[in-house]
This record gives sequence, structure tokens and C-alpha cells, in this order.
Amino acid sequence: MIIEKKLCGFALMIAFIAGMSAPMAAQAATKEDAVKTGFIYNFTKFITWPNGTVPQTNFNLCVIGNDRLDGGLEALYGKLVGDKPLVLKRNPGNEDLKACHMVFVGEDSKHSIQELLKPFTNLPVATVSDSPDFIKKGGMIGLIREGKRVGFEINITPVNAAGLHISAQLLKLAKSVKGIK
Amino acid sequence: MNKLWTNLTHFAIELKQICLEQVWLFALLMPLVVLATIGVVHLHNKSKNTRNESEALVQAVTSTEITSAEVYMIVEKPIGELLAMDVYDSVRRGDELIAEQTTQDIMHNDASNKMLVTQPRRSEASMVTYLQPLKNKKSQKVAVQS
Repeated sequence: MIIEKKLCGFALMIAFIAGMSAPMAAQAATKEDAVKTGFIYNFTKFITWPNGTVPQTNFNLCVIGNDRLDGGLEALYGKLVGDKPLVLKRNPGNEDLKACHMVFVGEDSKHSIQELLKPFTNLPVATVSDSPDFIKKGGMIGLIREGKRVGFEINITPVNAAGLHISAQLLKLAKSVKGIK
Repeated sequence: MNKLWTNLTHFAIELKQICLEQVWLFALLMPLVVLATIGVVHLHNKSKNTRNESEALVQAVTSTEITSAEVYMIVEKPIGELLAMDVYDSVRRGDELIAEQTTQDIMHNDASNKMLVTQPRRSEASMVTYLQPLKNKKSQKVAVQS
């Protein structure tokens, strides 16, 4: 009797909480978020990482700061990058930073972009963000707005310093490429 | 088999009765949960509002929300298609909006400053126009007397 009572109360609470949380979870990403996520996924196809520098079981997409894409990145979870499944790591600890293949730099009211990028200096980690003037602040790929569309710009200097290679095809598609001599 | 069926029915009836008894708990907790949810949503919106001004303005002209199925569909697209996709409702850029707002602010401030500066001048001018004839009259009187 007591077990049944508890079971019933628990079931009611679960049903109610699930019902209430559904609309909150349904705060879906916008088209902008989805397109930016699509770009991030596509970038992985055009970037070559140096061999043996990063553990090779997964492709680790790290997110530092607050994720501005409002959950859009979740859509990438498990997608294959080459032959490795993509794994999302949100705000990884200092030890895990080296395991990142790519990092999406979100907003952070406490730290500047330069501060957020500092741990990745010269590491083979591709840095992407939609933060304004991201490439001017030392980032590699900045997602920008072009009229009604989303585009991107690339800063080659940190890409070379990190030992990464970005295909010429991607460079052609970029709105601007900084650091080419 | 019959016994099992009877037991199950008995259990279901008992469970139903207990659930009905538990409704009061549900009713008691519901306002709390509703309040908590509203609080969480409010905080979430507030934290979003603290984003910088440019982002807020960009958001104002940004695209509408889409379903998760659409997100998955978009993510699958090749980069060429993504580049060609119209994402925002308006062609106005966030920074253009900022520039416009900044210009409006500057104009507003200028206007306010001008008003502040011209107000005393206007008062001085009105004082002069009021006092000048009086002065003239006085000097005329003095001239007549002498």
C-alpha cells in the first residue's frame, strides 16, 4: 500500500514535471543557429589536423563560454567526422582542452575572447565563433552576417601556428581571409 | 490465469484510488512548480538580455525558431547551400541598427544640449527686449528734464 502510494505520487510528479519542461525544452534553435551549426560541421570537412597530436577515438567539439547557438550544436552529436563520431564537450577542464579538435567560443561576460583563446595557443585546435571581430582577436574562423545570410572569415596566422591546414576550397568560399602573404 | 487477472484488476483499482487520494499533494505542489518554472524562464530571458547591445539588436532582426527536425535538415546541407541560405528576415545589419540608434542618440543629445544652451540666451534676449524700451524712456525723461 505504501509502495503503491509512493509510486503513484512519483508518477504524478514525473508526468507533471515532464509536461512543464516540454515547452522549455522546445525553445528550439533558430534558423540562424542551425545554419551556423551547419557551417561548424562543414568546417570539419575542410580542416586537416596534424597526425597523432590528438587522441583519435572521437572528434571532440568543445564549447567554451555560453553556447550562443541555443542547443543547435546538439544536432551534431554523434555525426561522423571522417570515421570518428563527434562528441560535444561543454566547458572542458584544463586537462581536457588538449583533447579538443575544434572549439566553439561562446560569449563570456567575465573573459575576453583573447583570454578564452589563450589556452589553445599553438595547440592543434580549430577555433570558431560568431563573436564580433573574432578573427581580429586571434580566432581562426569567424561566423559573420552578410545581409540576409551567414558567411565566414578566416585568419590564417593562428591556423598555421597551430599546425592545422585549411583547404583552398574553404578559403575561396570565405568572405575574407586574413594573414595571407 | 483468472487469479492473475483478478489480482491485476484489484491492483489497478487500488492504484486508481490511491492516485485520487494523492491529487491533493499534486494540487498543493502545482503552484510551486509553476512559480519555479516562471522564475527559471524569467532568469533565462534576463540572462539573454544581458548579452551585448549589438547582439540584442541583431536578435531583433534575426530569424524565427525552427523545429529540431529542420535543424537536423539544415545541418546536413553542404557549405555552398548554407552560404546561399537566407537566414535573417531583414537585410538590415545589427551594426547598422546600432549606428542608426547611436546617431539618433547623438541628435537627441545635441537637441537637448542646444535647448539647455539656448534657454538662458532666450531669457536674456527677452529681458533685453523688455528693458531696452524702459531704458530709452528713462534716458529720454532725463534729457527732457535737463
